[in-house]
Amino acid sequence: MKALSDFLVNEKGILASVNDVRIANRLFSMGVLPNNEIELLRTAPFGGDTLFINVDGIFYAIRKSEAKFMMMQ
Amino acid sequence: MEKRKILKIALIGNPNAGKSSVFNLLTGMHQKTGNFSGVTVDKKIGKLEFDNEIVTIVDFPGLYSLHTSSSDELIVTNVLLDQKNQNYPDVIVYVADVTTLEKHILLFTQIKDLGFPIVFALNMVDLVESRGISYDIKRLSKILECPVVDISCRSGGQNIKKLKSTIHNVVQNLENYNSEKEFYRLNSLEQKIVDEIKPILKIENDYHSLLTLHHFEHLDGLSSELKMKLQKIRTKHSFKSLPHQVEETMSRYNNFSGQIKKGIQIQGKEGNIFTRKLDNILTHKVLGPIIFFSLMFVIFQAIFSWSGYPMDLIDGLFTSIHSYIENTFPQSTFRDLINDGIIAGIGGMVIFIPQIVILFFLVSILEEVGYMARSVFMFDKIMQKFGLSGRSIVAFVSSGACAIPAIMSTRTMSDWKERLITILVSPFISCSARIPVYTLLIGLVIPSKTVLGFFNLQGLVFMGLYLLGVIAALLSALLLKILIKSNSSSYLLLELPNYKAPVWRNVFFHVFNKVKSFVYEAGKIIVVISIVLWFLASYGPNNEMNLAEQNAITLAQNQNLSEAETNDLIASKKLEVSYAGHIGKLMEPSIEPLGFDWKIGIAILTSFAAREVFVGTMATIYSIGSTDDEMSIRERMRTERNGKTGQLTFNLASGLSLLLFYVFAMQCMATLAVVKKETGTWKWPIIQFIFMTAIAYFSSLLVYQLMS
Repeated sequence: MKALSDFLVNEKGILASVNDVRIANRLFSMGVLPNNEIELLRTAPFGGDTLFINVDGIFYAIRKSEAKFMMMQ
Repeated sequence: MEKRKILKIALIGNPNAGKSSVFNLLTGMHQKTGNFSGVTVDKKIGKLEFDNEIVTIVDFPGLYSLHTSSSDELIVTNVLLDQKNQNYPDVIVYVADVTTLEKHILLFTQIKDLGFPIVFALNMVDLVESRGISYDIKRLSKILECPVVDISCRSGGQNIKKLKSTIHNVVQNLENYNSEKEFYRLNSLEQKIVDEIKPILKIENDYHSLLTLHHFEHLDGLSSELKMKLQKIRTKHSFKSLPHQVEETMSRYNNFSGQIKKGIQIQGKEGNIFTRKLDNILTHKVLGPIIFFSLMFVIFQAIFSWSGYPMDLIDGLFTSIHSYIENTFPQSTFRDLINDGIIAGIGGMVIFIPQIVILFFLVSILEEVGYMARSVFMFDKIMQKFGLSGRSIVAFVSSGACAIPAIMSTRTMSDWKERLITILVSPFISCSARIPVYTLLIGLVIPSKTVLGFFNLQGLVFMGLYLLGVIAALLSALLLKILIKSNSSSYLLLELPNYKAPVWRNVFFHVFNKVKSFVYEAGKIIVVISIVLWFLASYGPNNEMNLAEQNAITLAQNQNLSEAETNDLIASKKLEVSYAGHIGKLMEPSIEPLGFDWKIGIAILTSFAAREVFVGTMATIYSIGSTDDEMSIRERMRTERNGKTGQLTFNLASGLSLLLFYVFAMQCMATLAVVKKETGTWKWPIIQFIFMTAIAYFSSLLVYQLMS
């Protein structure tokens, strides 16, 4: 299990759990759920602290500080 | 048949579902923008006409779930739980994007469980072929337990008539509406608590009670005693909201995911190929920012150059109107009030419209296409450091042309603190109105030399002033970030929609609504202040104005001045003894340490209306009011000596000091009017005015004292 924030570009994984309840609430409401496949497409310019991800065909931008709660398999 | 009350329809759905498109198609020109009370979120209301009745349509902010911490999104929860709320809907039209349908069902099931009659608008079906999507309307209708209409908002709009008639059907059969299905069954603890509070709240609906239990602190429709009772109950059962919200969301998804797949088949975990490819370039580590700044430069340039012609037209129009009135009607206070106060004021407001139109036209296109979300992705981290958001960059760049449309564009920023800080610091960025002032003063006190081979000194100073503005903006943002308390910790978690062609109808309405709200809201304030300033400059105490005029005439005769020169002298002497002149003289002691005299004081006062008024006022004061020639103004100013000290008024020290004053000072009532409108209170524009003027004062003071 590793956090999404530790992914390398182009790495894929399955979302297992989200360790922060506030972020979990928001993520799940948006439809990003456990068992979704997540692919890290790229990181932002100027330091790469924002992630551009693909979740089962839909694209999202999330902060590394948010991604560190997303545990992947 | 008895006339019943006008029914209300609410448009609800996820962000990016295309609600605005549907709203524009259903209401057309019968729409207006207002505010939801208590928050500065746009509320769009329109009318939809049927054969035998008219209904009101209200467009709500997009949201993913009724469980939310964002104050903007809570509006929806608030309204749906309060029957007495003026926006409480009788029927809901739920708009969902067919290409990502599964994500849109969560909110739908929540609303269904509240018992509202719903018409489901399955939007963007023009895309199904290219995406390999197939759906079964009848099946979907059964699963969702409501009528489903597949529509597209492109071109003329596909199936919109069917949507309208379906809405009409539901509206006509309201009394017979009955909801059977429950999409979410409360767990035992929730049911227990809900059974306790239902009698207190006097409502039957289980989910309604559950939502109240979760969010009562934010519900305006509840009395404080009711809230206290609910708080007691929540504490009694040690009810923790968030984990239950998460459980409920997962449970809903588990229930409907399987079912939905029977009604619609969507392929592809890769996501839209076109979008993927385009994003490779547009959000590239190096190319991304380059492309972004190029686009911003284009917008900046466009605002500058495209607005020139319409602004000249408007200027010409108002000048003609002004001359016409002046020449047709005999002189009287009333005529002058209308002509020099009101009409001049309206002209000074209307002249901003071309810039607003251009900015919003271009930004709206970028938004419609889906690009703005990418800029937020790229700049989020940097802007965060200053308490700003990725979207603030757009506001900053636009401020280089004019802060007013820039401030209005912050509406789309969801975090209140980031929006506020952006609004407060944007005016530090040097706008186009400062340019005449910069040009005049630099030409006056900065020698035209070449430095380091090919840099023009005057050009360098010019750029330096711009840079100062940017630095001031960023540092102030940093300061405000530390000072302003905000209880919501911001998050990003932003959906990046697929790129699509803009819907021109939406662009049109977007621009139209912005202009309308500017004219009606900011416009009022601008006109009032114009009148006040006109009065101060045109009238003086006692008989002083008349005496001054007579003295001027005598003086002119002695010097054998021409008629034009005589009129200029009269204007100059009268301005000296007007209320504005008196205020200028009163101000003199406080601005002397900055190197200014009372004449400059008057100009600073009048340019509070608009910075570029500085040049015109200078011209009047130095009695060359009838010339437009900047050169002659400059020559006249160059030789001017201070009455008290005998020194040149405009030397390097005082020139730089005055320049700095104009870089930092808040001298634009139109901007203050817009800030008031966007923040909903006078508190912020007042703070902004004091803060910026204080910085202007002290930096001018510093520079003048150091250099003289």
